[in-house]
Amino acid sequence: MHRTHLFNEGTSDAKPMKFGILTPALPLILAGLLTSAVLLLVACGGEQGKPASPPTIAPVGVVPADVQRPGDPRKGYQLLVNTPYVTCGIPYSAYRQTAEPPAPRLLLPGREGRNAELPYWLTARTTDAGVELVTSNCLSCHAGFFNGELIVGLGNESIDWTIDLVLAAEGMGMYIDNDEDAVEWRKWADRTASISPYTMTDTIGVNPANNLTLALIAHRDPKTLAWSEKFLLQPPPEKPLPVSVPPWWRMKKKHAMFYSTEGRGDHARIMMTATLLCTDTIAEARKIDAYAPHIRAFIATLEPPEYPFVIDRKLSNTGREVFEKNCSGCHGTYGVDWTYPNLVISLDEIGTDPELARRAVEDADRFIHWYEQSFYGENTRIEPAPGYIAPPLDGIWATAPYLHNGSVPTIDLLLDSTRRPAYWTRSFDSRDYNKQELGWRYTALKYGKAGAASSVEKKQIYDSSLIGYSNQGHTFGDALTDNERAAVLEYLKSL
Amino acid sequence: MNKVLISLSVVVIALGSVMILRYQQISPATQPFNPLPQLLKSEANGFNAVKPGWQYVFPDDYGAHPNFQMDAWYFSGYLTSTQNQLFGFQMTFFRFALAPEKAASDSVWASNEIYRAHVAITDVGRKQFHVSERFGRAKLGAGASQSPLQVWLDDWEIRMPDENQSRFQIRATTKEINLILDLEIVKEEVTNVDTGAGMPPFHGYWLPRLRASGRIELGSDTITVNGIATLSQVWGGLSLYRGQIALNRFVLQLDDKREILIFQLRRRDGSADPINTGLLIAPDGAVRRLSRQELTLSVLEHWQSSKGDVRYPARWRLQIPEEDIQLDIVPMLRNQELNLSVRYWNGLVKVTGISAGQVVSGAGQVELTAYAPDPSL
Ligand code: HEC
Ligand code: HEC
Repeated sequence: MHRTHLFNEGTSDAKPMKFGILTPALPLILAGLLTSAVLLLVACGGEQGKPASPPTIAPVGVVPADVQRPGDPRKGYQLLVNTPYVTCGIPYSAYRQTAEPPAPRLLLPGREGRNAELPYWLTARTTDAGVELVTSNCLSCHAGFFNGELIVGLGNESIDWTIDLVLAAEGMGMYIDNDEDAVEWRKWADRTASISPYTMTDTIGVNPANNLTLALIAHRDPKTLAWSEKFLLQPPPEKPLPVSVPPWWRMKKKHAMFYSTEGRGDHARIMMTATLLCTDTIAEARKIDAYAPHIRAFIATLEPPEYPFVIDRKLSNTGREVFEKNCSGCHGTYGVDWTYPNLVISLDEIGTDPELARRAVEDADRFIHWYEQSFYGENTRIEPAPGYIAPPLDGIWATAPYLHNGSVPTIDLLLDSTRRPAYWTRSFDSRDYNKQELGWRYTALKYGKAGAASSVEKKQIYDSSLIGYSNQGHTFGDALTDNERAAVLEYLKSL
Repeated sequence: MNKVLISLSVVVIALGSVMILRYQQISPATQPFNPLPQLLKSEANGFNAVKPGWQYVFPDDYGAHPNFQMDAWYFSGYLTSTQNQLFGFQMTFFRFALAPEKAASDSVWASNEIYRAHVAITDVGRKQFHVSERFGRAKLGAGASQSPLQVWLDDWEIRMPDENQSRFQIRATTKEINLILDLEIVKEEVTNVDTGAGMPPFHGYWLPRLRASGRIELGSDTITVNGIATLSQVWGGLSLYRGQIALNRFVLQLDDKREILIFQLRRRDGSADPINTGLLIAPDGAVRRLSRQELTLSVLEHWQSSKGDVRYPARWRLQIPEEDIQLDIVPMLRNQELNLSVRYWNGLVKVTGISAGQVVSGAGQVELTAYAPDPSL
């Protein structure tokens, strides 16, 4: 059990830094983290790199379990927060000149050496040449705030990926003074420049990790992992589809990774594709892979946080009955004797935005083929199903906004498709939480991005009319009475 | 774009001055004293830090910000005489504080603020570029006030007259040429534009269009001039970085009452293409950010400096397809290189082109830094 709750102080979740490069959005990329989100998704029907045989499309329905390499969760946490699995980043000297010391609420327990003074999303590394770097880690996307508290494993749904990373990465060059630092900075800034067009979303909060991963793959030789400045495969379309970052604690129950269950086989190795920005040789990949099972074990034993407000136990018990009647067939049952069916629901039945799954199934052949040929494919399979997994709902109250694309701000609205706002915005403050509706307080708008008065407003509008952003589907709560819906909401607080 | 760009670009010159710290090459002959090495020892603690959320208040923010370590003002513009002679001008003032507290010692040399200013006038008709640089200290003929704005270094001065707070006055005299101008604000400040790159290390604003009127005194001639100008001001910390990146800036003022600001990040080692971002200001002051994907700026020609050792870009084509803008940018005089405590090119350019099927023209100021050989080599 690894309930890693952190400090609760400060008034804002933003991480103010001196220079752009270190604003909340950037650290990730900046430090160059990419994602595990892996493959699938996105592509553009080029003919290059056509696989010899078409990739396997998994059926909808039950996802079978795969054996996982064992690991020690405690070691996994240590490695997660102390080991620089992303090997390129910003020279520390430049980082120091541009970043304020982090507020205490941004620090993590169990951090060693230099890491103890870095904010949670950065990890220190010293290169063979002796240059000290700060690199980004998984927590840049996989730790988030709820009610002012940092929660490891909660997806960060407030990152601003609309910005142009290149400006910030290049700007950092102004703080780079000696030749050794310059070599490191150049590598990192060049990589950032290569992938930055693939990371710019239209909307704050949604995540481009999937697209980022595909762009990285397109730069690498599958056999050697060597980086090529030129694309070796046709890259994905530049504009990322919006993706919501799932909480890690689902991996305790899930047999496959990702929304369309494309990540099958050895999860530890799949996760470590998140280091692809800078992993340039098989030897490096192997080194990371050797300890990855510990990190996977940490993730797979992580528990969700406990609901921090009052729960009406009586109502919650009523809700449990309603839930088990209407929802458990897909989402499982909870408590000590929990069950979870690991079911992929077809696009037709679920009715949510189809684009993410469609591209994974139809447009990703060349990426899947790359993967199969690579080190990463040795003990894993990329097998998307034409649908979405019905996720475990543990800690679901903490993970707004909902659906794979983050299109629905509250669970109340998820359980009544007729009331969902086509256009909405929110404050991105983790204290701005609605306990009645279970989700972010939001403002419904009469206009979408096209009607925004400024670019600042525009990127804060969730516009469900855009491709990949639809808020339709999942109508399974529509027939509930108001009382039943309220009861289910109360029950979900207890998960 | 964006504050970052705006601010950084203004600061180019400020940094330029400070760069010298590393090399201490200020010649005693041209400077009354060499203040810059002391900046190295300056104490950044005790000054206000640059944090998000600065509430800009004008005219107060035109003045000095003594709680910050540095203030920089940068005017430039384009002037025409009644006889149609063309002139460009640029005038910068920097205030650097060495320590937050007033210096304990009574000696004027211990005063805690250093000033640096430069004035340059491009005389297009006579093909002359007059440049002059000064250093000074608070208490020794230099100073800055908060509100209303007044900054002076000996007899060089910028101020905002009490009675009219939409107008600046600047005055500078050099051996060859004197400049006395009234600059009236036509468009309001550009501040807090969505940066796209996060928080800059400075606060600042840009006044994209000022109406200029006044006179240039050249030898015994007094020439009445009118034109347009622009002001950038930043304040914040004193960064001593130099780094891998050089900054170029293009301020273009079109006759159709639009302005374009292009900010260029350029790797000194040329290992990647320069990155350009910008702002387009509409006649009504509306600000449109131009991302690097939305504009291309290509170099069409180069110029070899008069010393022969430096090659500067010397003609550009700017394209902004979404706005249907294509402009050629050409220096009005090739040699507008400033050989001051920092060597760089900063000069008046002519702008001609086509926008939405219409011929457009204008003038501007282009700043090119870090092309001259690194003095540390
Ligand atoms: C740039 C943001 C980002 C970074 C960095 C990142 N991830 Fe992810 N991760 C995502 C997104 C987005 C998804 C969901 C993608 C999908 O399902 O299509 C995801 C999915 C996952 C999942 C599967 C969760 C599930 O329920 O299916 C695991 C496990 C995971 N990431 C682990 C990691 C690890 C370990 C690292 C660091 C080595 C990492 N991630 C770095 C964004 C990121
Ligand atoms: C037929 C299977 C099915 C049934 C029945 C069903 N769901 Fe779902 N549910 C899904 C699938 C599939 C998703 C993921 C859809 C997506 O992300 O596009 C989902 C998503 C959700 C989510 C959002 C998860 C997230 O992290 O965004 C919640 C909350 C949820 N369901 C609650 C319920 C409740 C409560 C009920 C009963 C009233 C219910 N579901 C009934 C299949 C089902």
